[in-house]
Amino acid sequence: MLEIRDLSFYYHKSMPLFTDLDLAIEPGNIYGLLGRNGAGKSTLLKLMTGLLFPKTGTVDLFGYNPEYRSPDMLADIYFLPEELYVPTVAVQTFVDAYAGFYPKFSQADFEKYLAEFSIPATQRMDKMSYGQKKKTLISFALATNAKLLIFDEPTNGLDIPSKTKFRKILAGAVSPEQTIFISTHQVRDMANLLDPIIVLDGGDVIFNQSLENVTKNLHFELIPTMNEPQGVLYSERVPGGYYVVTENSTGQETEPDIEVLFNAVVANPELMDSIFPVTKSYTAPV
Amino acid sequence: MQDTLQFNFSRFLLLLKNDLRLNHRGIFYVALGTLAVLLFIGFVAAYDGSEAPDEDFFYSLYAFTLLIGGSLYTSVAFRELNKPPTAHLYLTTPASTLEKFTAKWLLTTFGFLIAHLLVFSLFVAIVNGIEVMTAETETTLSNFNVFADSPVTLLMKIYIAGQSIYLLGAIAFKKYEFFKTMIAWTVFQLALLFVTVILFRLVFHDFFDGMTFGPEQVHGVRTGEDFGNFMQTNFSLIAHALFLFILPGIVWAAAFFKLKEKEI
Repeated sequence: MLEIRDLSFYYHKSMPLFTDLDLAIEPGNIYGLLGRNGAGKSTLLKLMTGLLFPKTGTVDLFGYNPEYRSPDMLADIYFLPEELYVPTVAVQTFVDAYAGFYPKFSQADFEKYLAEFSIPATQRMDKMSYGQKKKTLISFALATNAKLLIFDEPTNGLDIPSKTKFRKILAGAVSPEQTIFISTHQVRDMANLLDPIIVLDGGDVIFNQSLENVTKNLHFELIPTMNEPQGVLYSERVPGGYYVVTENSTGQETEPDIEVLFNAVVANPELMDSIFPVTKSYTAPV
Repeated sequence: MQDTLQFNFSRFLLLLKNDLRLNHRGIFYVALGTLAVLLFIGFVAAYDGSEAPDEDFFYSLYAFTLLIGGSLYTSVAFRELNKPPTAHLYLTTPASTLEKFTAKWLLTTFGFLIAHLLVFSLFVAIVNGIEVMTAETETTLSNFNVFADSPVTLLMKIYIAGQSIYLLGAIAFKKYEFFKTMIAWTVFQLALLFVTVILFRLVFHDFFDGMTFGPEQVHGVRTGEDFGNFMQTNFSLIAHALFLFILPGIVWAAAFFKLKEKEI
């Protein structure tokens, strides 16, 4: 679906952001793209969709080079950025203006999602709050039924009930042909939703694993004290003790905390690499 | 590249419709504002105690509003590209670069010409109407006829040629596109003039005596009269073709490629 090979990119030549980055993503998943501030998450999303051009290397999306911004390719992706723009029109006028570009757009789906978010279709978009704008555009994105939906920080600005609804809607919206790519810092908002997890750090993809692989190989546990830390890959102090990550030697599966996983990966990229041998290397789709 | 050059008529129509639908308020207010300014000037002209506004008055005003208004309108044609959120929506809208470019091109060339002509014709009708109502003696109304042998068609050609430069400026510059384009175009013309003069001086060095024309006759050609005739006939023809046909073609192509390479 998406293959990135040997991608290099910089805004200033003296400060390369990506060097020989490789990434492959497959349909039917909700990918979580995690990374520190400035790691290049938004830049990677722009490179994937042809809003930025690689300095070297290739990006292949559905067999298209995104640089050429093919209408057929664009009709199968919807990229919702963190910084939103809405025209000064009512919701339905916006839909009338843009739905025609998306052959698989469903008005019924749109109205359903909008109703779930409690947004009136008659409201002027520019008069909405940031959260309402976001919910409207999320509804539009899902209703396009595009093969690739990209959300950059989708839960920023959403209130607590809306975050819950967003998770619920997203979990039910993804079809086996679709891929949702979510770049976020708010990993707790995305609990039980993101799978696989991609971690971007130091200009490279340092982790790209399914949660199944994570639970098979890592053990997550809350322990009251850290008196005898044995085989601890990562630990952090939390109310009630320590959250520790160890290698899963027992085969017993535990529920991973994505935020702790991210911290563990960023703190020990080499160690993770030895536990997940294909973490960083590019794997061509079968 | 083929993806960039795709052309689907229904997508193109949708782009045109969106431009009007999403910017209709702005377009309406600009048209209303232009008409208001024109009417103000018309009233002043009609009430200055002299005769009714003549054709020259209308043609001058037509030229001024067409060239300045059109350049201003064209300069902001790609205002979506000025800010990342609007550029994001524009560039990810599923239409090819050719479709997006052609939609803007059509709106800023023939779209503007037609809209401007409608507003201006309305203005002429109102001014003439006022003249009829207020004239104390018999008055002759001025005729503003696009289809007659008037400067209007030539002005339209000049506008379309000049528009190409402002369309390129609209894509190339992020802020104050109109002024930046004007400055860039002036600098470009000065540089071109400088190079042309140097080349001219080198190529026709036999016809020069220092920096002035002379001697009187070179290779059987009288430098003053013959050369002047040559320049008047051939050079003006070349300049005409260059400005009205070749320049816009090249600049539109450059603008298209600039749009194709736009990143955010």
